[in-house]
Amino acid sequence: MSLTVWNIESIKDVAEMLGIGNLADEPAAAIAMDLEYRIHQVVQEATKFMVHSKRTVLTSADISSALRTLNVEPLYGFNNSRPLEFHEAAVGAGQNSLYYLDDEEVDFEKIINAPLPKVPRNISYSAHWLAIEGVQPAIPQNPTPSDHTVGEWASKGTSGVMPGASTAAKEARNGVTSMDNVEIKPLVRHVLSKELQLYFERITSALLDETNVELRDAALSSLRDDPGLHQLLPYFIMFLSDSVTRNLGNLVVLTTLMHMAWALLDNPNLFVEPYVQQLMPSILTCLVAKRLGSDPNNHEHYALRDLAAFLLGIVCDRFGNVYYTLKPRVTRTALKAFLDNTKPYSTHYGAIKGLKTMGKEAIRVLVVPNIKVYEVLVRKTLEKGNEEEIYEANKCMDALYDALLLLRDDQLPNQRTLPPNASGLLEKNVGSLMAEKIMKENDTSLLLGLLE
Amino acid sequence: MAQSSYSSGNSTSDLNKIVLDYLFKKGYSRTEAMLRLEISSVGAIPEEQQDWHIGASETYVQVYILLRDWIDGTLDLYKPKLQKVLYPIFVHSYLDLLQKNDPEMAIYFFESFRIEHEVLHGYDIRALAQLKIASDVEEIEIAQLYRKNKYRINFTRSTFDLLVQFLFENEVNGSGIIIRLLNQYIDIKITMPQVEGKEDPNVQAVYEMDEAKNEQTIISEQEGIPGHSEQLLDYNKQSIQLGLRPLSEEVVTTLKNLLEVKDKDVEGRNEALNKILHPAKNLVELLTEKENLINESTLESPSDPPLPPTKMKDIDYFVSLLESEQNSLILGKNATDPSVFMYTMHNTLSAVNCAAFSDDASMFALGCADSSIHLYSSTNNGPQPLVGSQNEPLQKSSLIGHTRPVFGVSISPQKEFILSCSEDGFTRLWSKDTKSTIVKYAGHNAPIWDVQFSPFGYYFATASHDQTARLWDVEHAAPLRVFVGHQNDVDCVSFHPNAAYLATGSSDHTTRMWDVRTGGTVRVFNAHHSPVSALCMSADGLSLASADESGIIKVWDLRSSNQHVSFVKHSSIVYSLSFSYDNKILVSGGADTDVNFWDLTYRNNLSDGEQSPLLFNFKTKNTIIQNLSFTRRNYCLALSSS
Repeated sequence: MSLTVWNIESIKDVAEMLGIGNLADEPAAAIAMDLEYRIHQVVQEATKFMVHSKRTVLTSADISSALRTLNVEPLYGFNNSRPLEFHEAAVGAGQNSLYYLDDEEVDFEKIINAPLPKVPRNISYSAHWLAIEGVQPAIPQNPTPSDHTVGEWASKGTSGVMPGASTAAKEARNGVTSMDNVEIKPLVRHVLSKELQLYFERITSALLDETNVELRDAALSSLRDDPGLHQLLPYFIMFLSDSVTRNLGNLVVLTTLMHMAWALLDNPNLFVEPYVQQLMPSILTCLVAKRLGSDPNNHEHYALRDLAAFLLGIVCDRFGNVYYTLKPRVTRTALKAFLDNTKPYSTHYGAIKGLKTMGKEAIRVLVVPNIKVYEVLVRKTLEKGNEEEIYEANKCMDALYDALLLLRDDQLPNQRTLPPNASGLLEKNVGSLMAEKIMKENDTSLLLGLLE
Repeated sequence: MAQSSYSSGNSTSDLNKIVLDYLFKKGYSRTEAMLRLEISSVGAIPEEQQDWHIGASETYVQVYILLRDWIDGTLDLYKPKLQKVLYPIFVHSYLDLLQKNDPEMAIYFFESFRIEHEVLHGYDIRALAQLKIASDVEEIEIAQLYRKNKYRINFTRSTFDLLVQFLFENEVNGSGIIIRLLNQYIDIKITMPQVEGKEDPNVQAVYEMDEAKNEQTIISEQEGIPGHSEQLLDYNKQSIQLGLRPLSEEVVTTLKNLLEVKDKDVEGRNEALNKILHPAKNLVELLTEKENLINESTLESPSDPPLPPTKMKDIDYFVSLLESEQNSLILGKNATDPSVFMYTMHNTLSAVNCAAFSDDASMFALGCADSSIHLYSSTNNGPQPLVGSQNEPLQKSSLIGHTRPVFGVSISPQKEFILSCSEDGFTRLWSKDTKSTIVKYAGHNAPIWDVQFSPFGYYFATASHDQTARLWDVEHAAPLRVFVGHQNDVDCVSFHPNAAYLATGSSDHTTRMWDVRTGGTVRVFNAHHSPVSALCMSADGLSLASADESGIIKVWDLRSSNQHVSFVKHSSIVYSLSFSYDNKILVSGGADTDVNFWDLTYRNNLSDGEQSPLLFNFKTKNTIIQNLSFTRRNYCLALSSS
């Protein structure tokens, strides 16, 4: 019928109110279109006043200013403080609903005698630095940066690997919770300052960032050298344990986490001894886990296991005397993994590396007597296994050979000679495969060491 | 009349008449309009009715005036689009009149209306002026270019419906001529409305340089005749003198003597304190270097506007400028990061309409909705005392006189006077010392949106709802220049640092630069798609920044006519822009809670690819940024209201 949103019934109702009884449809439609145009015009002008008043909300003052600009008497009696109420008039059954505004009558005497409204407060100002040389200071006048990341990390749950994980997690949760609700007394003896929380957040996010090598190196360097991190040490240990468990499929992150452990051990300002028990499961996981990394054909997990073995050596050398049961337990774990032929070669490799770290006596007593038995498994793989399995088996044999090198005879070679049946004796001790490898290398001192 | 034109003819006309009658009775006015449009394009009109359809020569003039006046009266929502249709109608009406062998009426038509299209289409207008007789339309290249190529215009659906409805309502007045021209020579495309940059919430910088053709909207197709876009570029190639104004020899001599005394004083004080202090340069060297920089610049300096004789206050002002420059921060990458000191007004009840800081950061003024102006000044006599003074109370005074809300305030460079403009149509000059009105300037008969002092004081400009900007000097109550050309409210003004040019931003989505001496337009920038809400000229006079109500910022290189950069980050209207005094950083703030710092050397590093032009983003606590100003020492002052 027309472009307008106003219907002609409204126009006719207004016309009746003005005494025009029989307004036809065509002039009503024309008036409706003109009415819509005028309303748009007033709103358009009012919007200009709103914009220049630096507001994003249209007020009745803007409408009044717009009407004045258009040389129209402004409306009176409208203000912003009270919402408009529309009432529905009673009309016939078949007609459209008709609404009207309640037109309140005001008594002059009531207005005159009413008490004066409260005087509004005067305009005042406050001044502060929004930014100083590009940094927004954390003062009450500035918005606070969100510190939920630490809380989110603590609330992600605990790892089942660590015996003390639940205690550390509880401490972390309380440490974070106390920032939100000051009435809860924290269970920990200290509350982390905001700076330490921010530091922890930055370090942990940097270590888990696979794409930024410089950032990771900077974080590791900070962990290795910075003083004042002792309060964060339990959180770092727990972060390490939790992250290792959740990133077993990510070689880059696992390698970074092992470097993190190395950095913590190397930091002269940190006293790591009480947390060695919580640290060991992470290192052992990276040593003897069945699979590290998501790609079975990726051979870089051997480097990670070597690094874990190296860290194992550092821990046992440094803290073996304090925890006198540490080395026996580690040795037992590694030997058990080595002798379990249901485990994959990757686990065997890690176990062999771990046993090598335990020293010469462990090799002589625990590894040498079992090489011949291990050969049965390897030979079977060499005969029937696929290319990848053969590669893995050979890696284990190489690891065993490296371990045997610790048994070299360090006496003067001139004083001793090989017995006539050295090859046979060697084969009897360490099996034919290893004997073959040793004879090929023609290492006299190793031979003498093994044949004592 | 429309009915009788179909009373005789072939069966097609009879059938059309029957359908039109049916549609009219049923009230399907839109369908009826479309059918009429199709009928007129078929060309089934009998020969004896051709003259009515083409129209008499006088009808061209009448119907063009009718269309133009109707477009002027439409809502702002549609007006910028509809105005684009006037130019091709103008051209083809002129060519039609020539082909009707009525050269006198054609020339009369052309001369009556050419002034309206001179700015945007001057190149073609001058070429079309050479046409004199009917055969010229067939022979001269420019005429054939328009006759043989369709002129493309993009409309939204509602805008097109509005135009069609107007044309059919005025058929008795000859609008059929325009309908025919639209069908024959103009290619109208209906587009879906889009907002630039809204789909990409990240920071976006659009580096555009259309040397070969006119810059157009990114989203829409090219408008005008394809391949023919020399129009605005041609206009914007006018030469302008962007060099800074050198000081007169008399002033330089006086300054040098004064500065030498100051330098010796500093040296003496240092010796007395038994310290060795080495400022980077002393003030005399700084002044000499500055003068050499202006004299050796390849940019031409404009002739001096008439100014009153230099007073001691002006000399003191120049001295303070040099002292500030001596101690200013060096901003940008590999240098100091920006610092912002913010004043927040409380209990305002949304009544603060505008704010301005003084040049030396010693005071600021607020214009309020209750017609009052509040002045806050520092009692500290040190340099830029407003920066960093959290605990120091400011002296507050009120200036009462306006009768309607105040929309603009400006503080003179020498701090003697304050200007304010108001909805009551007056601009007032206030004395800082006596707190009273000195002069009341009348001239606008409509609300005044903005007022600004010129760089050296004495002159000021106002922008108004009456679509004009005006130039005044403080000693006369009548305007010296009236800048006419914008087709909607003029919303903001900004002086060029050499005081010879004035930039204005308007609700017609354009920014113009005017020569203050002649009152004419020298530049038109039309890349915004919503009203321009903020303007700022850089201290070196080579860049102009404009921002609009959708939050898009554009920085224009005034030396090259069509080169600009767009910054898209703000989610709402931008109220304030400010360049740092070393011209390396632009700061912006508005109705969202963001203060953004933009790297203006970004263009030089465009090859970096992934580099973002946004240097810093600082958020406030839900307050509106009213004003941002870099001090002369390159600190940023901000004023916000809650």
